[in-house]
Formats: sequence, structure tokens, C-alpha cells
Amino acid sequence: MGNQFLLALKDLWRQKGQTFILLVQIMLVIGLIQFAALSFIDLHKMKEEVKKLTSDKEIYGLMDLTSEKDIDTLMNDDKKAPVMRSLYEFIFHNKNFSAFRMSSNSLSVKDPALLKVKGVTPIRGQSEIEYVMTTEKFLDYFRIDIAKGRRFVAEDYVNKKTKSTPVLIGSRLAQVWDVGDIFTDAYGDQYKVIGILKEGATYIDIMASREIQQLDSMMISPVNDSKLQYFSDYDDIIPGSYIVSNDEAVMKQIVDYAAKLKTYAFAYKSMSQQVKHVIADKQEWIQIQLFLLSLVMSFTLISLIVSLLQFVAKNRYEFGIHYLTGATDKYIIMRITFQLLPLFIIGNLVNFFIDVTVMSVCVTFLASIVLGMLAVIIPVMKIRRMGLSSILRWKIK
Amino acid sequence: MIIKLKDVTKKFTTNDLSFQALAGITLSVNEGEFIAITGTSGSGKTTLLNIIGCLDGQTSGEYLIMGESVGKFDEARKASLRNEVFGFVLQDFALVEHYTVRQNVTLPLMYVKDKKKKKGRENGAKDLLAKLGIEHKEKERTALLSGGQKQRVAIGRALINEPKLILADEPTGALDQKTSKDIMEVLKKLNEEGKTVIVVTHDPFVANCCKRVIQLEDGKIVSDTTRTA
Repeated sequence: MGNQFLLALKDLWRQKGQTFILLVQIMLVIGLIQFAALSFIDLHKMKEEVKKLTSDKEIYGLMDLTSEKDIDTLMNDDKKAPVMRSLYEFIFHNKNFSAFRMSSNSLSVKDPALLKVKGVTPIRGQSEIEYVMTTEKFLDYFRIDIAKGRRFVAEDYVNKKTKSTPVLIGSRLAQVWDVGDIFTDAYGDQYKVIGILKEGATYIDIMASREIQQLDSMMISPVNDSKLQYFSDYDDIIPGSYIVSNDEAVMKQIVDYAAKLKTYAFAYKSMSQQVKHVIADKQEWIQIQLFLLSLVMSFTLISLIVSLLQFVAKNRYEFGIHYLTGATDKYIIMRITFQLLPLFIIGNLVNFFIDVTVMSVCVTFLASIVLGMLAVIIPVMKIRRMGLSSILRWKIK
Repeated sequence: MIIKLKDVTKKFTTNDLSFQALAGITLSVNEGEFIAITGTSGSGKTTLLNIIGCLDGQTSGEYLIMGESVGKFDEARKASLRNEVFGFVLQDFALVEHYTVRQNVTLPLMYVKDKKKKKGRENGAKDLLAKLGIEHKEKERTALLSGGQKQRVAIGRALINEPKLILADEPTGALDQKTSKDIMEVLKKLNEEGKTVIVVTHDPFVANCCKRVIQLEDGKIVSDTTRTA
């Protein structure tokens, strides 16, 4: 077996140009399989997550249909801040339902240690950390637990005095900061780490990015009620609100109240409704990926088969000599198959450049085996049909 | 008796055409014999040698090797016979041109399962090359050798696994007269050392070197004569 593997490696080296082209094709196929597998896994995860989240109560997202002109008018109206406060109170401090705000932003921090943290984006020597500014219900709704430190307390949402904003950091950021550490962003604002999230914490913003967001390299900061003063402060929070309730009527109340206050023109959508569109979108994307994959895969498969057939035809006489000295079909087939082995092993290394999961690696590995097996079927049939005495007698090359 | 063929026939069929290459060959070969199989082109010499060497199968009849019927052997057993019992020397040398002399000579060792035997024979390869007068060519690619040297490499490869039987198909067919003489000397010497040698040839000089001459015509044995010393 070892001898056949060595012969296969030598064969690959002898036809290095062709080997390189095949390797590129295989890497492309494996990359596409990996992406398709990840999309499938992502879709499955999302379905599970939404199912889990909506098992107790429905969640509704507000859709802001206010025209740009109206927003400009609102923004330039100094008297609107108390009206916005009223809407804010109606949504976030309502006894009939609970609400949380969920929108992510980023802040720049200059700390060289952050550059080594996976998921933190380096931009011009600084690190961009994604964060979610939210309210208490966000943590409850997405069942986000703390590994170290504490959760936000009521004071964190209304504190006027403190200079630094309390933050919960994702598990990866704990490589740089610990509970109690204070850091400053590019604008000089201070943040104090009060807790570290458990590894694997996630949330899904079904109305916005529609992807499951990993909180491991993100931060969570509280909406500070006492710092909400201007229209823009409220505008940053209210349109990104989510309302948790089994009573759809409360959504109508919010929409009506916003209209009554002459602020936003809201509509709403439940997560269950929205998820259907998201799933349809994702399925369409997966179909495109699968179509592309099948094209590239067919092309690669044909290339592999043709290459192996050419190899068999070119080396028929050499195989004849091996048969003459004691080889069986098994050895020759091994030699052919082993040619594909290093190509697929190197091809699978492409996985290390993609953010993979164990499942997607397994899927890619299995797909590689199937592709390899399909590629050798015809050459193997050809080998088995070779008449040994004819090859040697007529020196068929 | 090392080989026994009983009423062996071979028929080649392609599409609607069929050709009877061997028509009832009955033959016995004893250990230590030096046999020439002669005949005109198309008389069935190579076909007979191919059947003896398990490179091809007979259409009917029985072929026994050391008392066992080859018909009952599977492909692996036949491959094992080609590896350990037979040593082949062919007209066009049947060498892998991009291999070195040593790689060609030791090629059959790749398929030897007994590791101890394999190691011992690997170690003996140098002596074998010396015996054949090509030890200085050990690391050279076979493509660069002369015809005579190539045939010596082929003989080396045939001998590396210490086979009982050397099967040579027109071993001097591609060589000049002097080199042919040298190669026949090598085969003669091997026979004197106890190897059974069967040579297929249409060259009277080669046939004259052998102790027993079997003549084929239209797939049948028309004469089988043993020379007395």
C-alpha cells in the first residue's frame, strides 16, 4: 500500500501542471460545498432559534415607514423631545407588554491586544468592536447568561453620575479585559467591564441582518434613560424596538400612539411571519449555491475522470509491467485512487480559511469521498478490462 | 514435473471473427529443462507462453503447475505465481523507461508479501546486477541503456525473486548477433544453475542453444525433440 502511495505521489509530480489545475478545481468544489453546508446549518439553526424564542411568546418588530421629509421635520422640531419621551415610556415601561431595543453599532478602541481577538475588525491600527445597546429584556429574551461578574442592574439604566458606561463583554474579549477593567474609545468615552458573557451567547435580529449573531466578540451596553435628551437619542432606540407579547392588539396600540403623537408611521411584523420570508430568501440563496456547486462539481468530476483516463491510457504499458511482476488490479486501482488522496487532503485545507463548524467539515469530507469514488469508477472499469497479454505483446502505450 | 498441459486450446474471438491460436496442446515440463518453442509467426508460440506464465487463460483443457490446476486459481494467486514462480524476459524488454536500473530490477519485490524475504532480496540486488555485469549502471535510467544492457536488466528483474521458471519470449529479437549470443550465454548459465528455462523463438541459433525443441504449427505441436549431450 505504501509503495502504491509513493508511486501515486511520483505520478502526480510527473504531471504537475495538470495536478495543479485539478487541485484548484477541487479546492473550489470543497469551498463551495463548505459554503453550502454552512448555509444549511445556518438555516437549520435559525429555524431552531426562532422556534425556541417564540415557543412561549410571540415577538414583534416595528417597521419604520416614516418618510425622510417627516423625519427631517421631527429632527428639527425642538419640542418633540418630550413627545418622544412619552412614546419611549409607552413602549419600554408598559405594564401590558415587555420590549427591548436591539440594534448593533461599533466603537473604535486602540488596544494592540484586541487585534489578536477573533471577530474584532482591525481598522487603521484600531479595533472595531460591535456592541448592542439594549434594555434588560434583551438578556432575558435571548437567555444570555453571565460567566463572570454581574448583569445590569436598574441603576445602570438610569445612572446620571457615573463617568463610565457599564458593559458586558463577550467571552473572546475576556482575553483582553477582565471584570472591573476600564477602557476608553477613540472619542474618549469610558467603559467599565461589569460582566463577561458565557461562551456561545447569540441573538438574532430577524428584521435587520437576519443572521444569528455571535456575541463572543461583541459587547452589550445598557440604554441609559437619563441620557436620553434629544430627538436623535430616542430615534436611535425606538425604531429598533422589539415587543414581546401574545396579544397582537398591543402592536396596534403602539402604532396608533406613535401616529397620535405625530411621530413615526409604524407598521409591525411578527417574528413568525418574518421568519418565513427570511427562510424563503435563505432557501433561494442555498439553491443558487447548489446550482453553482453542481456546475463546478460536474466540471471537476469530468476533469478528474478525463485526467485519470488519460493517465491510465498513457501508463497502460507500465501497468502491464507491474502486472507481469505480480501486481493485481487491486494495486493498480490503489495507485489511481491514491493520486486523488493528496489532492483532496490539500483541498480540504481550504476549510481552515473559512469559519467552519464540525458538521460542515464532516459534510465536506464525506462529499470529497463521494466525489473521489465517482471519479475513479470509470478508470477502474477501464483498468479491469485491460487484457494483460495484449498490452505486453503489442506494447500498447 | 513442474508444468503439465492437457489438451489446451485457445480461441480468440473479436466481433464475428474467431481465431484458433492453440488447438489441443499436451505438454509436460520437468524441473531444470531448457526448452525452445519454435514455429512460424502465428503458430501460437507466444500464446502458449502467455498461458504458461498466467498472463492469459486457456479456452479449454487443463493446465497444472506443480500438480495444481491453474483454472482454480483466482487473480491474486495467478499474480503471486507471476511474482514468485515465473521470471519473464520479453523481446521488447518490458522495462519502465523512467525507472532506474535498480528500480526496474527490484520492481517485483514491491509485490512480495514476506518482509524478511523482501529485505534479503533487496540486499542481494547489487550482487545480481554484478553477476549480470550492469552494477555500474545501477542508478541510470533504463531509457539510456543499450539493447543488450536493457535485456540484462530484464533478466535481473526476472531473477530477483529466485523463480523456478524463466519464460523468455524472443529474448534476442531486438538484439544484434553478438549481444544475442551473450544473452543466450546468460540463460544457459541460469539453466546450468538449475533454473527451468522456456524460450519462445523463431531464431535457429537460439533454438540450437536449448536442450529440447518443441515446434508449433497452426496451434499444434508438430515435433518435440530432446537433444542428447
